[in-house]
Amino acid sequence: MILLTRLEEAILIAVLRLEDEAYGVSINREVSKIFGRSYTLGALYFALDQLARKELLGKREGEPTPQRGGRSRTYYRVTPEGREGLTAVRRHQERLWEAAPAFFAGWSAR
Amino acid sequence: MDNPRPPRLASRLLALLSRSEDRPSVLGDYEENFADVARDLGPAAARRWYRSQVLRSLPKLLKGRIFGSASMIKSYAVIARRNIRKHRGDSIINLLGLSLGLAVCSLIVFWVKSELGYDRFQARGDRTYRTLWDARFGDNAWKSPLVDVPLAPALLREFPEVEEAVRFRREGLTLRFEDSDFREDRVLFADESFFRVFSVAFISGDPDTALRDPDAVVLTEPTARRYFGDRHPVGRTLLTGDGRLLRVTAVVKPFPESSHFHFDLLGSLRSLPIIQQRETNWGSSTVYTYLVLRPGEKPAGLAAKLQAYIDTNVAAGDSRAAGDYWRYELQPLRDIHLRSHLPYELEANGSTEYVYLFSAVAFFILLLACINYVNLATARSMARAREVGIRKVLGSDRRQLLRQFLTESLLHVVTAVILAALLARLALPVFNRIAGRRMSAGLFLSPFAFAALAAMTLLVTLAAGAYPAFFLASLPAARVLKDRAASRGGRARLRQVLVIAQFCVSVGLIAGTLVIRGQLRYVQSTRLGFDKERVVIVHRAAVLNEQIGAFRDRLRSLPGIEAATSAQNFPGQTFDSMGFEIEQPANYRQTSLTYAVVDEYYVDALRLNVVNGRNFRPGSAPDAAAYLINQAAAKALGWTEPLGKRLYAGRGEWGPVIGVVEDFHIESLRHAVKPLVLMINRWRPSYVAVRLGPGDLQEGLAQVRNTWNEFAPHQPFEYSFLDDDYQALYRGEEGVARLFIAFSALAIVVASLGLLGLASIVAVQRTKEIGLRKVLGASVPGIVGMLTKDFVKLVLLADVLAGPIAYFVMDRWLRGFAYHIQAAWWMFAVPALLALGIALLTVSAQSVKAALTDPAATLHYE
Repeated sequence: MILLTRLEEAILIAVLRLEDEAYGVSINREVSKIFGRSYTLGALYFALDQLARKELLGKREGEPTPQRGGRSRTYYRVTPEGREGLTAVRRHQERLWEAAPAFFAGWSAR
Repeated sequence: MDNPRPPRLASRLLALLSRSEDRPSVLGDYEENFADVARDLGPAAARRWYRSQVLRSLPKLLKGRIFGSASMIKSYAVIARRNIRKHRGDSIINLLGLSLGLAVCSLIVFWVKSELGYDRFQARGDRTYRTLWDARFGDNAWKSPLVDVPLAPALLREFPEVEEAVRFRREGLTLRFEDSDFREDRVLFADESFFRVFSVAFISGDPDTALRDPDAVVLTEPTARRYFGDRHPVGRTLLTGDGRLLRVTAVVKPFPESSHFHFDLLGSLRSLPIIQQRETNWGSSTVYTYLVLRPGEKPAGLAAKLQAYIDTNVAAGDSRAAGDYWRYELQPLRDIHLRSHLPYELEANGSTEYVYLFSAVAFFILLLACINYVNLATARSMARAREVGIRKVLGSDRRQLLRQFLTESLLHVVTAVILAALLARLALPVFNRIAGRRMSAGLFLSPFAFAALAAMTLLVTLAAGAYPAFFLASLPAARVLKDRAASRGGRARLRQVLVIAQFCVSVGLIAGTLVIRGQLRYVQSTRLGFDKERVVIVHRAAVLNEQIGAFRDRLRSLPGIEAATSAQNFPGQTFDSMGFEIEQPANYRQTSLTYAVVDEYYVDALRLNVVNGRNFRPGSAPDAAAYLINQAAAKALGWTEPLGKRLYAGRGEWGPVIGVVEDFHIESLRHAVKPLVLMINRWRPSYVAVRLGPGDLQEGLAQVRNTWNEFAPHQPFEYSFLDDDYQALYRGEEGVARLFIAFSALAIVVASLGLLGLASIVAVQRTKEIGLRKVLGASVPGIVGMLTKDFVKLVLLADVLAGPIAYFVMDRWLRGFAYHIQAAWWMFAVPALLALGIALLTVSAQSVKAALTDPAATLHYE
């Protein structure tokens, strides 16, 4: 099974949620919202690279915009492998929590 | 619309660190984000944000960058390894040559670094100066670090810019300990301020009070251990040979190797009677004086003020002739080791010439090693031209190919450097012997060593790897694939020049070795005018006081001893000079002459030849005021008939010249024989020299020792042999000779390694040609000849070039000697033939192998 870091997990979810609008800045905004803290873009790129290398994310070049000094955006989308990975991670999480003592039952439901 | 721009430097950095394919999108993201922030918080805050973003992203960006290219680097490394393995023979030759060169080079770099780092450990070293006394009175001029006793107090009293000053004097000391006598040579007697001028690390004791009392003595740790073992030394006492008690007040760490002077014991300057005698005595060379200037003060300013002080207060009363002077120089502490070569230096100093010489040699050797690398790599590139062609066709760009080849050369060089470090470690004892130094193996673990090796790796990789890499990467694909022959001739000329250069250096070094050895042999066999064999010199004879004559006469009466003399100066030692007044027909003239203080038996003991007149007569009172001169003196004074001419040497009376001795060499053959005056001693001389008769040397020595013990039971017996003392004059030359031998051996090995590699590659390249020639009827000797001829031509050319250069350089070296050999033709012919022979051996082994190969095997290929 594919293990993901927390950041990678968050990125995949952010890209899914952003649909066609997933590129560096928007992903960063979304991820920051999820964690309640901001990441540097550099940290984000490293994670994006790893995900692309593992083929959980695909890349596509966009149109250049004046806002970006005439540079194009790189858009990301989640590949089928990415979805699979995310599902696997979720299933793994759930199994993990099922095994947790009953003490946590009420707490986790909150 | 005036959009705020992101900070230029930060965005440049970002562009630099992002991969080329990601660059637009990365920069775009940052800029878009920047625009958002600018809109919300203003341009200034946005720029701050941008900078901090880039800065905080650095680690991750770098990590991504390295990970990103990892796969390519891995591929480069794999192919590099395959290539090295495929050409194992060449690779080993290449590695050996390179690591040999690097090993020697790194040893020399360490040595140069240690030579340049003298006295750096002194915390106030940048403000510390040594005073030199530079003076001239009539014909007598001198400059030495020994200065007057009152100078340091005057400096401290009169000149506020002088923060601290210390005087010290070096004297030997005999210590009596547990019924044995020990002679200590490295003893300094210093002012209390010694520890405020020099950085001395205290193990126990207090720097402020350690030298306060006249009976105080400070020991270095090894000295303390020598006397007291593991017992705590502070507070214990030591008894001197003349019965004074010294109290140990402190134990300190000895100065490191990189100090221009060292000491084992440190006593109080005030305890020396001579200091009290000369307390107010200007114009006597008595103590070394070092001073520390206050921060920001310039030595030139102080020197000028000091000169004014001396002129008005000290030298004013002197009757001075024109051209006389009396001045002091301030010599920076850190210049002493390399730049000071005065009489009475505390220890033998290094010299900038040797630093340059060694650096040049290191550079040469590294150059040779690099040349070999370039040679082999370029030659091998011929065989890889096709690989390059195919890579290019398959889409490699020039940069990728460059990286491929540079990775290969890096792999080579890193291996070579590791090998070199091991070799250098193994060779360290040998190198220490040659350089006369004590460098420790710990040097190899210092940060400097790692930095130096890393720098060398980088340098050699670029220097040696760049040429083949660029050359290979720029081969045009279509041509090399279509027509292999086109790439063959390519850089043949360059390779030839490189081989010639290497053999030039080798031949030159061997010729240099032969010339130096020839000169040293000449030096050994030259008639010196005295007989240096079988003469024992007993040191410190002055401790015998009035007994010295009795000691000498007792020795003379012993059966195994031919002659004995008590005297102040022997060949190989320093001779002083002083002003003599000389009787001329018309008037008196003063001139400065070197003199030796001797007794009536000096001529016999050294077997000097009296060529005119007679020797001193033993016991003759008038002869005590007479003089012997050497032939050079007679000539210099213009006396055709010197006997009876009179000299005046400040002894209160004029004395006649009673004899002329044949010139004898008191200095090395670098110097012409100087005019010399021999005169009978009026004071206690320092030495008694004994000429031993035929028979066992050790037995004779034992006789002298026993007699000494009789006369001076509590003084250690110290002696040397005259021939050793005299030979010591050539220590420098012998060092150079050893160096030349070592380096010429190395150079020839490196050069022939290079040639071997080149020959094997040429043989491989011409495999098919050789096969064809054989099929068409060529004989094996014919092919060997054909393959060998090219290289022999190169070596011959190198010989022809090296000869005149070596002759020119060595002739200049020889001219440094007043007495020298002529460089003979065979000294240049022999190395030339040797080089030719070695080249022939190296190349023919390869050629014969190639020539013997069955043509069927080579032609069938392809």
